[in-house]
Amino acid sequence: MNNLIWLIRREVWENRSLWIAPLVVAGVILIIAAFGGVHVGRGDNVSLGWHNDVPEMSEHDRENIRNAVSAATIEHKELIYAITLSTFTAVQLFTMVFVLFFYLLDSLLAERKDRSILFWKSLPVSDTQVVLSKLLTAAIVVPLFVLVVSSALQVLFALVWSARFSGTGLGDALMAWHGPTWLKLQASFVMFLAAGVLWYLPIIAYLMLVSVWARRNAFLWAVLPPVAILAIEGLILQSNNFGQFLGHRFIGAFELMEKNIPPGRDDDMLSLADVVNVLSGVFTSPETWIGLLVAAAMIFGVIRIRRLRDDS
Amino acid sequence: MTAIIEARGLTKRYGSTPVVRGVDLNVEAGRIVGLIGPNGAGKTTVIKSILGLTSFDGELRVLGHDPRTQRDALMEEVCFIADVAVLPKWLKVSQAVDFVAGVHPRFDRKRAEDFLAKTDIKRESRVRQLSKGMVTQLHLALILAIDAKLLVLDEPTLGLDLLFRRSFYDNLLNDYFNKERTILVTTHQVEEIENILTDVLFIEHGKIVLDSPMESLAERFAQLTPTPGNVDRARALKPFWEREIFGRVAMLFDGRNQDELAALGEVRAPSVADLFVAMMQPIGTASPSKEAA
Repeated sequence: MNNLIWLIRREVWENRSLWIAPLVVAGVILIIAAFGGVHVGRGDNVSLGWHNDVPEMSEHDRENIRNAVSAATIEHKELIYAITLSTFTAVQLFTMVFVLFFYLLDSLLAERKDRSILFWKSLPVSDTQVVLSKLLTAAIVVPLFVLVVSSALQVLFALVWSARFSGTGLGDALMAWHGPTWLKLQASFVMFLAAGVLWYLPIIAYLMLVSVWARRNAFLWAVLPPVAILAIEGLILQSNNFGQFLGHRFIGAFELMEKNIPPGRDDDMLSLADVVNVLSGVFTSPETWIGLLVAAAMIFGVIRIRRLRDDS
Repeated sequence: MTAIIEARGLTKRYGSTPVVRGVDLNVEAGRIVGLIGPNGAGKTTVIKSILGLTSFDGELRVLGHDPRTQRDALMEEVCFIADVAVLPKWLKVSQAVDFVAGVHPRFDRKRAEDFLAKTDIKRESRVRQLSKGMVTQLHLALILAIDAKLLVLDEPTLGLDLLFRRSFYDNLLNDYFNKERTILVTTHQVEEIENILTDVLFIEHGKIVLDSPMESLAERFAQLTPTPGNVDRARALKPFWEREIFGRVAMLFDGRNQDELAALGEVRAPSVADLFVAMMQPIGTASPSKEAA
């Protein structure tokens, strides 16, 4: 356990993009919120932009927004609050997927490229601990950190926004702070991430397997085999079973969630019970658990290969 | 005495090419053993087998552990420097010390700090900012602070200038070596380590061709420079190697009576470097200058 903590710390030292990227994204969003332009479209559409090129709102527009806001129910306001804040977490999660993809591909290749593996292997840390530390970094440490940054970003954004636009209607449209909704959002995201990590663990393990196997060009090794299988299957069998299988691995978790969204609730916030119910589609699907078994087998392979990898 | 390294029939092939062919070894505690051989002789493969970095056939026990299956336990008692340049470039000096202190139960942080204090290495530097010599000093500071029973050094001074090489071995002897510790070292620069070794092992084509304590080398081997009239009589005693320099012939003998040789000319103990050259290039394959003569 002690070794694992040091090894995870090592990952954070080596891969600074893991924690810098979410902070940069949060910073950019806050700068746009504080200084960026605001576009008010037809109806009550509001969007943020880079350029501060929005003319002063006409009194007519302000009036419209004020009326819309005052007519909105508290539930409606909560929904706007929740959707706006969720957008930022979504941006952060998207960035995280991108950063983790490259982190994982490099995770067991970089140490062989610069031969530093000989230094790490001279210390009493086992291959199992090293591989697990990288897996835990990608599957737990980074997602939790991104979530914490996103949660803080949500709060700061709402505060900045409300302060900047207080009294204009835009400020009132987005609540500055609504504790229960915010907490509910965070709880939902934790569960959502847990479901996501479980579902995508085979992909994480696959990328690590490529990383420990490849001598260079891990990206190509990760991408070309699936593409080749797709092409060969298409040419010879004239079918696309592998493509469907892959596509399902990529978006299947969302399909499983969608099944459990209660009908006719488009305009209301889902309750926590609803969220649990939606995500349970992922947790209870045999596909998730079969995927986990496959991931475990691949991680076992990664440990074996790192143990016996002999590049010189 | 307890055997630190015990090998019987250690064999390794890459594909169908054998690199190590049935090596037997017996290294006891408190020795400094030089494993010496030309490139491709199998030195590094033997070292990697001992450190559990590669698979192999045959029997091998290091501190009683099988490196194939008990590597994790082994690494608590063994440390090694496999190559000077292997510290990762992104690592800060302070992080390196913290990390080793964090994971190694036998690491003495103060020792490492004291050693570093004697160098110009700054705590906040990353490895990529250090000179090659400083990287070696840092690595040495980390390794020497580990209370290991066996230290394995594979070409530890490759690419370093003479000053660093000299102080590297001085540090090793003064700050590290004692009766409970054992050092196994490979190097190209035989002449630099021959006076610190207690034992030599020559390896060629994957086989051990010489395994001897230093003190018995002088008893077994002799270098004779016969006086001009005695060259043919000296040859009749079957030297296993000879060469001609400045018109005089030097011959190496294995197991000849030294008094018998002394009658024919000047006798002295050969250096390890001379022996190495001689044993790697036996008569018949030697330098073209002799064919001409």
